Amino acid sequence: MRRFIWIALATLLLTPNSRFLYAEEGKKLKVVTTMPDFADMAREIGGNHVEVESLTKGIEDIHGVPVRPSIVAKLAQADVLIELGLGAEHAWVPALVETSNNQKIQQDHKGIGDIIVSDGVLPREVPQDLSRKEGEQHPQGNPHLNVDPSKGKAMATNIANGLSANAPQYAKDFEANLAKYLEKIAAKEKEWQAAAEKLKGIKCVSYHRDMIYLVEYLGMTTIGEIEPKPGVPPSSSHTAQLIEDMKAQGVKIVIREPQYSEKLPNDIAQKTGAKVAKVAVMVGGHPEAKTWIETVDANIQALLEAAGVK
Amino acid sequence: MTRYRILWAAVLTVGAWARGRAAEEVEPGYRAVLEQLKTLSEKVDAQEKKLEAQDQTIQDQNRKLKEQDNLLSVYKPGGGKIAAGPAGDVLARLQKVEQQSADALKAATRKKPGDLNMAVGASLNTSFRSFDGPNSKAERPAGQDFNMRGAELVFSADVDTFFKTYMVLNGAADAASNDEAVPTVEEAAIYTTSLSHVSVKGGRFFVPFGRLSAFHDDALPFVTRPRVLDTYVGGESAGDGVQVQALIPIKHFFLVTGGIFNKVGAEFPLLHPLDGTDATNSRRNGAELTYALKMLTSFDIGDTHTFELGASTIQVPDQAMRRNLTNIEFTYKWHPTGSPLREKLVWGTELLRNEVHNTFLRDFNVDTDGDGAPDTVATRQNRRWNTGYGGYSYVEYFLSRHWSLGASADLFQPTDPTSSRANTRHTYDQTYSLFTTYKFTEFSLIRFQGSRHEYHDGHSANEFFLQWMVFWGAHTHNFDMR
Ligand SMILES: [Zn+2]
Repeated sequence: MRRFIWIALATLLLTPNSRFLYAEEGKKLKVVTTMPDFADMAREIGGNHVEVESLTKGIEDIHGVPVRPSIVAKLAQADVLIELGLGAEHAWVPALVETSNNQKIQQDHKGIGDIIVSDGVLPREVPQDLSRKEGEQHPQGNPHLNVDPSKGKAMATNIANGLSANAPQYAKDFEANLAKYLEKIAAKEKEWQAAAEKLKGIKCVSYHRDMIYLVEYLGMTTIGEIEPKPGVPPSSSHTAQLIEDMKAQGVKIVIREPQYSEKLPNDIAQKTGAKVAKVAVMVGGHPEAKTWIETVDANIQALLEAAGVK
Repeated sequence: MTRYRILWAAVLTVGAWARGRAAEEVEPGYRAVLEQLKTLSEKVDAQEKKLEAQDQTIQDQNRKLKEQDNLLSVYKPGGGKIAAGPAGDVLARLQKVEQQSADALKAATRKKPGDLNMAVGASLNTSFRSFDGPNSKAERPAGQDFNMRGAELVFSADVDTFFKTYMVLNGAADAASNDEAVPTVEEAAIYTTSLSHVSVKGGRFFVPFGRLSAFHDDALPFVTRPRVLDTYVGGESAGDGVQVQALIPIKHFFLVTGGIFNKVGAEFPLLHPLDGTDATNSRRNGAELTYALKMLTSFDIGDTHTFELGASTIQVPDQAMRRNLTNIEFTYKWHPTGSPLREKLVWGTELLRNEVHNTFLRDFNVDTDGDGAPDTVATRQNRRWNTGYGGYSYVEYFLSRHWSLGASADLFQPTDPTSSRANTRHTYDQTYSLFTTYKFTEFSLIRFQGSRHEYHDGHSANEFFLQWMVFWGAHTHNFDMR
């Protein structure tokens, strides 16, 4: 019995580990993403060299996705994990990655397969104080930069670089696909900027503090959130204050993210005469928008409609 | 153009030489030619300027084209280097600045080797309780009681490329010593991070057995651990030993964990009762170690239903210390994706069978002088099997991120591992509870619990708890602690 245990242990430990090697020629790279946004980009860039799956549908709260054992099995099989980073997924991804015991995707770039799309992007609102008085969910700065139309290029480039590092034999294809994709974004950006002209100066509030990048891109301003602090539930006193501020400052738009209840945003809009705009924080938030570009389109359309400047 | 220049220079030189020789001798005709040449040269100069301007325009156009090119190549994959654009390339420069700032931010917030090379987290778990049962059924004073259930410190760190480590120190009020709370090492373990498929762990840690047995007190969904676990596992479910955990490399989740420990459970003897009680002089053979094995799998139905099924066992093979504890666990989770209220439901059930084989010494009277009347007390070795069944089931419904409501039932047949007490096979200790929790955030909560106890000996009691807990510092969301 004892001998059996030792042999079993030795076998487990000494088995050559083929998973450290690069994906072989002709074999598809297995890509797992935390958000549908990155899955869309990975498909655009990876083409038929990749097999992509998103762990979320886009209607979850990225800070609190339910932990399911089946995700562990998916991570264990993955060559690449694409995540937003900046602590956005800390409540669910680290524990699952650790349990998966997949060395390729160990976080903080300890594994070659860990791709962080926010790399090289300067986050806003990096807290000066690590106390959780300022809310519990944005300890490394505001991570919701995937809604920023101008960050598409940086995200796609990080994904392309990461895929190339994991499958150098396809790097040329990835590069070509990236160039095409960047052109697509560049073309779209003209439309988005035209829309921004119409939205410039309009004031809004949102449920969670996840709209700062989008609002800034569009030249709008946000005067507050329905949540008093990121991750802290709305309170009646905070809501009353918000309504007062909105009236005083002439706020026209209440942004409602699909993962939050409609009720409170609707109530607030009714009391202030503002219009509710459904703005997605991830691809999937607008059921008809299947890609990142389409989602940015749908978000801007929703804002144009709510602002009545369409 | 240079051709004209040479020509003009030659003409001028010739002209100067001629003038110098005898200006007055120069014929008017020659002068006219000179004049003509001069205007011609002026015309050529103008032409030259025009051409230069055109050249400049072409160059400008070229540069603009190049700038456009550079704009596209800013995000060239492969190394992530940004092509240095010309001075006018504002966008590229902005991106460069942003990249540098992000790097600077990373560098500024990076820990240096001299910094604290570990994460520290803490939690505080306190309660007020009211218990109307008999004193003998209360572990702390019956009646009204404030209890510091736990003041916990968790240290964790990456040791090096190969290992991670963590330590859990916990101090809880001990009613037997004036509510003093002496910190004890609840867990202290090292585990591998560099092996694929498997993770090896050594030290003191929760044994792979069941579901809630591996939860720290402050991670339980209710105030008190189900009594069946406390009794059958034997209080603390941490042990000193080693374990191997393997995620079977298939598409389906299948986790197998096996371990060997000195012993499991505070109430179980560390040593063979007849080998002596002096730990330093006793010999422990392999059959007197505790072996644990756990298998866990899960199934999803759609995105909203998850079923987890597990089975585990704790075994001591030695005949005299024989222990055979087995468990089947079943957990159902409902978590509708995109539920704006973030509702959730967890239904957890564990069924256990506990078999302990106790060896104990029993006094009996001997008649040594043969007079028919016992006159001496002698000791005899006795064995007794105690077998019991038990289990618990609870359901907790999360109305929102903040509120949850739950109910639980917990019953078991007492089996005492250390005494010769009679097998109480046909009677159960039962506890029924209702509980509700309000989480202010991920880091603070209050909980109210009401419990009804029915004991196997006919006693009963009501118990009420108000519990409050906070967590601060570094915290990890352990996969097992959901
Ligand atoms: Zn957030």
